[in-house]
Amino acid sequence: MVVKSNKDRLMKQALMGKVAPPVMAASGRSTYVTTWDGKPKIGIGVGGIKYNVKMGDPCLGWPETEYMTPGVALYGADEKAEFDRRSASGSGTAFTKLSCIGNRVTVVGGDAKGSTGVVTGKGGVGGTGRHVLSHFPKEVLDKLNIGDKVRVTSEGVGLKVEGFDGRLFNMDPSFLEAMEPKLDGDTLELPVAKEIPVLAMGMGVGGSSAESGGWCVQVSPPHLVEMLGLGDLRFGDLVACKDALMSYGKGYYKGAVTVGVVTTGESQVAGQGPSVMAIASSKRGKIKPRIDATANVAKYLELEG
Amino acid sequence: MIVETNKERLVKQAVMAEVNHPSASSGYRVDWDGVPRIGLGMSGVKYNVGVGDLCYFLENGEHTEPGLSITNSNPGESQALGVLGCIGNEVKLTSGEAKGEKGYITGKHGSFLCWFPPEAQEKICPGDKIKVKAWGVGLKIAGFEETVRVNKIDPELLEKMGVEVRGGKLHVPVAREYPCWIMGSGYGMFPVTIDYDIQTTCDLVWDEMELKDIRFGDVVCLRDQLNWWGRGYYKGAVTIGVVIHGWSYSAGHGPGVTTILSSKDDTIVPEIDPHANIAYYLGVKEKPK
Repeated sequence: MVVKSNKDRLMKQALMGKVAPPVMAASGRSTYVTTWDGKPKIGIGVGGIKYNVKMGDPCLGWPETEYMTPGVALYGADEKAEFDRRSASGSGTAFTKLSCIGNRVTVVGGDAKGSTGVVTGKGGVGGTGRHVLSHFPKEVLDKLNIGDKVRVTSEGVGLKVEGFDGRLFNMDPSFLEAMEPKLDGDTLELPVAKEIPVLAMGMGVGGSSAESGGWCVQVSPPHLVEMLGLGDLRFGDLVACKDALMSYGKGYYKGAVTVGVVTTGESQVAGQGPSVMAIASSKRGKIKPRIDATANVAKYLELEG
Repeated sequence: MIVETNKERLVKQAVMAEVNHPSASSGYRVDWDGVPRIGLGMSGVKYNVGVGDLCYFLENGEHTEPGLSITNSNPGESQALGVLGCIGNEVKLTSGEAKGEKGYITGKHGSFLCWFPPEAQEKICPGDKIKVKAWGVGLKIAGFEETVRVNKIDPELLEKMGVEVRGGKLHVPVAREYPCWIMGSGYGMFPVTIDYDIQTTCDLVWDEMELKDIRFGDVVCLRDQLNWWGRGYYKGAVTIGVVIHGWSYSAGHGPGVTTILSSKDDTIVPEIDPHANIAYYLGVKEKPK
């Protein structure tokens, strides 16, 4: 059965943001983060404009990177919040929580003024908690500058599928439809590239509600990556996390299923790794993952170049 | 054979803190299932909940900290306190009505948690100054220097924990064992400065995992968890920790564990002893017969 949603009742509004600057993964005055096996690592890749890394590309194996944000990373235009990671309110927080995958992004200032792109995900862990990720065509990337103002046409918070025994998050209605979900009774069938057992889920557990933050898939030590076949994980992959509930928070729940998007890159810090942003979660396990190796945000958003 | 350590080589120094005040949020906290709640128990002076007591007990308990909570409001000093203070370190009040009374550190959450004799606890006020005799960073166990990482434990408390060297292994009494997937908030963080939680927000496993039986101060074993340069999954690794704070209804949270010993393999051998609890090792509570 094709799903019936409440998309006609969702509020659509403008959010203001700007292209975020690159920042270092290490906190304080330290240059390095310490990896799971006790080695210093520089930790680049959070924020900024990536010319050669986008949704659909391999997630692991980029040297010295920690929590790399693919494509163009955006921040809320709230200057104060930019320097306060713990800021719990204000327009910067609204920018993060209300942006949804598939929302249109319009550049409203700078050399690329008038160009459009699309929201591809949100950061979550490792200093990426307030980043909204976006994709722009190559010719726009060349014109885009750090700090350029952008407008996100926000739509998606409150999205529901009639009859589904679970909750949806962080999706523009058009993105939900592009995945061609099916409803069987109260169970929603969604495509996923991989299934991930809860033992591989790391940092981010205990974190905030599904509208912001993420939950890491651990990619260290190497024997875990091998055991779970995570080596070919890609930015933008849809994954099903078993026994993991990402709803009013993030935690273990026996039998629960959460489907999310792999948004940020690897970490070699113990217990950390690519961040998963939830798009659907069911406490009673009423999500049926349909394995499809091509289930990736890049495909459903039809991203170019 | 009781463990031998390098304790003679460790710096012992004074670090300052003060007794803090109970904290509260401005609105309801939404629990794991979408229910708004008021959570009690972070920070301050507790009169009826201490190390050795059950974690699941108090109405509205949310990360309840047993005994006394202490912090240092100067950010730089707080960071030093966070790294240097160890479970079992002696603490002494240096101001207030209970000046001169001595107790022990029993855990490190955001705050350090302490036990003081009940008669001293009655006289303590938020704001009173406390001196911590910080001792333990760099602690190593002879014969296990490369295979067992020791963290945040006072050398003399470690000697009282019934840890024995037998057949090249370190045998450690523990009240209970937990699988890696039950570990929650604090996962992936820095073992030296923060605990991580045994999740109590899946009601379906409360009974099978005996989560309501956990006590403040319990020594527990975490399977497939390595706490060396950080904390995360490592197949076959064994981590030993001490339960320091109480239950939670926030998704992914629960009683916190400060980790004290960790090996990549079965070098650490946990042995079940229901009374493996630091309240008995510190001699602050009478062990049940």
